[in-house]
Amino acid sequence: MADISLAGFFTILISAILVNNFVLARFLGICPFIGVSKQVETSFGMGMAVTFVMAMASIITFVIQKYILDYFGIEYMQTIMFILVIASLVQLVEMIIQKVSPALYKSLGVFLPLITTNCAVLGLTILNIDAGYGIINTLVHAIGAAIGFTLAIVLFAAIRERLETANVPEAFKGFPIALITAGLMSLAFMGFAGLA
Amino acid sequence: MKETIKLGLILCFITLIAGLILGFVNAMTEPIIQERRLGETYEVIEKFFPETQDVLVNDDLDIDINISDLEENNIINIYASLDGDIIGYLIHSSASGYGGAVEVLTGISLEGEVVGIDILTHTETSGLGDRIEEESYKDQYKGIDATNSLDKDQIDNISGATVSARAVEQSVDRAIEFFIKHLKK
Amino acid sequence: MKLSTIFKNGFVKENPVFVQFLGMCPVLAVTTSAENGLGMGLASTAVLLGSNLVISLIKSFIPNKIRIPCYIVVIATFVTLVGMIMEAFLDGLHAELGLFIPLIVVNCLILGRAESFASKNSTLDSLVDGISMGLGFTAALVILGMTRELLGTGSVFGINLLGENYPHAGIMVAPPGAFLALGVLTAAFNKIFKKNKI
Repeated sequence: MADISLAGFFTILISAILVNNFVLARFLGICPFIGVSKQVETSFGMGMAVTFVMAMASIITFVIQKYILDYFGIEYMQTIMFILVIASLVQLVEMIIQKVSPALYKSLGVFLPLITTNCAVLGLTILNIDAGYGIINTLVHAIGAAIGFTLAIVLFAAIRERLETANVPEAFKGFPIALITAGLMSLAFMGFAGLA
Repeated sequence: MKETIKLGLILCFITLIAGLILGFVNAMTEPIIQERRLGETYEVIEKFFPETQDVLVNDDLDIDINISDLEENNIINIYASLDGDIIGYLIHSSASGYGGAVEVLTGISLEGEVVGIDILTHTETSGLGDRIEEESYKDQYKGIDATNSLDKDQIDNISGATVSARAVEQSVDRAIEFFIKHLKK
Repeated sequence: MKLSTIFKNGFVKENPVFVQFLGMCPVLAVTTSAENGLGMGLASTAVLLGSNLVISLIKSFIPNKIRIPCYIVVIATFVTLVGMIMEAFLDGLHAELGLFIPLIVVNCLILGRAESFASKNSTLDSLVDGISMGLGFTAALVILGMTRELLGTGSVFGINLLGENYPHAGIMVAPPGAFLALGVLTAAFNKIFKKNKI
């Protein structure tokens, strides 16, 4: 089932980053998208953390699916197994970031453990299996999804930084105007539909 | 260290209980799901070959193939529609789409012409990838010559759904290849 | 806490969608129609009830250090159960909701309730809380679904309301429409109930 080619990689990447952007088209990763993205720097840091978790999780869940779930015919344990893998990975990433960059750790705050409940990560791992990707395509897909997520979150943060100084009606302040902004971004991204 | 092991064991225990409960429910629901899927497939068979009186599946067919052969080529099932004698074949194949496997049922008449295709299952993006279900897209496959390899240039793609449409093409391609190799007279 | 207070909580004061902003992914993704919104809402409520119930029952046996993974296993089990039952008996809905059924396990609402309520309150209180939050969530989903379906296709629950000549605003059932509709509805909610939190 390995359809591996450079053109294939390119299609997977363009699809995940632009055409079927994980956040703006597939609605995966919305919670952190809305929550973290008030500053470009923090958003970028979040994007990097998510990229690492997505890549590692994709590989580990691929192995688990193939050699445990499929082998023993217990596919129904997928949800439980996958989310436990992700939760453990996030713990690991938390510890690493805390050691390597305490500043980043502090600015990400509670959003770091929340990567566990980031539907983008679990969603990606399930999509990998459904698509029947081999290990390499799985990794390419993971990177595409992570880039798509980071792109959306950084762009959004940039816009929100500007919105802070704008004159927004009371009822729309905060969450509502953020959503409408996201809607406009999503609309813009729909323009990529012809690419893939 | 001892405490970590104890915590790990408790977590394993809970997971084990969960596994047992799920295994039990799975055993009950799985047959229902399989039966319904079979019913849906038979509906499609009758749509492509209205004169169908009987259907043969996989091993019942008198063809020289084995299971690993099928799996390698992403062929899931093979059906033969009979009205006394065989009037056509339907090949259930799959290919990787964007959101998962795209499973296609390709109906091929005895003379080697594609009668039509049906998208059995897919998890493509709604509004974009799921346009492979549109009649205008599927109709392109009607009348295609199945005695020769599929010429992918003759199929128009769908803007915004390249990966999904390609998956359908690949699925049909696999079905046709199988027909040429094993079923063509 | 009085049971009636707990019950009313999830609808306005702490509405999971319009106030707490939890469970955003399914909220935006599956509300392309009122029916899908209702289906997802009820499925999530079922999981929430199950997990709140079980967690409040076994809370004294779960060591504090591994409580989050344990909650996750319980929630994931109910999610898988609901998924299996839906696939067997509610096939159409199962196909429509697709990927977002297993994603119920990462709905921050459910884990959030387990951590903040079920692990600290009686079983009965937890049950009522589950019903309240679940129904509040479902109500929000249905309202959003109805809005998008009405503007996008002129129908609600499949029943045509705006007549044959209604120019469908297709954008509403596409991704951008989800964001826009929720943004406007939240602003309306803020205005009506005079709340404004970020």
